[in-house]
Amino acid sequence: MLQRLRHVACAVRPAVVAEMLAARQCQAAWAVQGLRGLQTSTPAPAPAETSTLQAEAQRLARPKGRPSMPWTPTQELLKRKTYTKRMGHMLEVLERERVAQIMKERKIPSFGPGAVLELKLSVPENKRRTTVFKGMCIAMSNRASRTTFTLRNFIGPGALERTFPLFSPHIQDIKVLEERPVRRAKLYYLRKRVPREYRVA
Amino acid sequence: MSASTRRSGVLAVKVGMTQEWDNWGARLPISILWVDGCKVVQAKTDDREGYTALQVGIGAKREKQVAGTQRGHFAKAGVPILRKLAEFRVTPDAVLPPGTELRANLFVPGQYVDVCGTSIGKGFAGVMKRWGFKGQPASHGASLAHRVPGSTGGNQDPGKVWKGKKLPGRLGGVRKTVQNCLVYKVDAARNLIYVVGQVPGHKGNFVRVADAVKKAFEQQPMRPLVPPAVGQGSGVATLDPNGRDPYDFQD
Repeated sequence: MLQRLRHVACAVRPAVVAEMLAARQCQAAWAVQGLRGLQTSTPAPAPAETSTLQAEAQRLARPKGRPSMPWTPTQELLKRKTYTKRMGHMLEVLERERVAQIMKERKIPSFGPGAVLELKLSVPENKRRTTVFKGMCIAMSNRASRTTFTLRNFIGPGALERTFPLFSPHIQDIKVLEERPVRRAKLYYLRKRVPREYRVA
Repeated sequence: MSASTRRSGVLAVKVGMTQEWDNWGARLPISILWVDGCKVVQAKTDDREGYTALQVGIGAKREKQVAGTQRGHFAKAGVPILRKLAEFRVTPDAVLPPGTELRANLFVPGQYVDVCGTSIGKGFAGVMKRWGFKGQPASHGASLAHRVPGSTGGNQDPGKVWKGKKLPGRLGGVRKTVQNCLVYKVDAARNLIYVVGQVPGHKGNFVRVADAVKKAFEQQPMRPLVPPAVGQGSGVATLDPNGRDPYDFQD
């Protein structure tokens, strides 16, 4: 672009041309500097995990353009969405946090429908004795702390299906024995099939 | 705090419901309530107003959304413009100065509270939903009457329908109180109160939270009269302090 300008400016007075060129160069320089500015800016500090006073103070001291924690008092917000939206968001954040907390305390393997599991359960109604339940996972309902999975097995006289909350304190251990290949999220079709397809020894 | 003291409550916003497992392994349905910057706006006294109460408010409003009289009312207390105001009757020893912030740590895990809110509106509800009538058979010859009220009274005696007869009408959208909700957990830094059970209203609605009126002073744990410092008072209740296992079935 500067080349073209020089070519055109041959017919115009040199002083004006010089001024225009200088202006263009300035603009280009500013543009480059702006880009450099973006590249060299320090990223904002990551939000603290704990809910201590210092963490709250840090969050509140953030520059105004940054999104704030959902439990920031409305009196301190510049832009406000409706309460329904904000509470929905807050509930999501709290549930996610709770799940992360439980996952840290307990070791729960990741599995899905088609996995064959062996559970060690504590039965509270029977003086908290430990029993074992084996089965194939035919359904998984993902709802943060309310996540449940259903195991199906064929034992003795008939089929047995049982649904467990994934984060229940009564489940002491989950062992994934094998992963059977499936092409569905819910394997309810197995209820009409022969037990050989879902039986776990 | 003594047996005759009646403390102020707080206003809160209903966040939603979740679940927790208590220390015995029993599953508890939990309602989360958020105290969104609750502040005392006015202290009503016996000599001026004829009764003792604290007017508290929560939320926020922009200056252009309120009239000058309201702006002055909040300015007098030294609080920002608040969205919802409510009064709580208190005893004179529990009166707090205007401008005091009431946080979630006013409540103690393990205590009981009454939560009051506007219930979800169900519109013009039929008699089966509104009053729990059993309705009529779905088949076996029942003609044009499956969910209707049926008979509304006697014949010539009394010759009228009694006032207050249960009939269809508007259900919900009114003030309801759920009493004796157990405070399961208090998050003091975030101003959250986790309460066992259901609470009236939709997510995002305002509720009033106050000490349970039907619990005696001895049945409740020690609660602070003066609001504690910011950040103090977080905790989780361990249910059944006597240590009785809820799964211990006695034959």
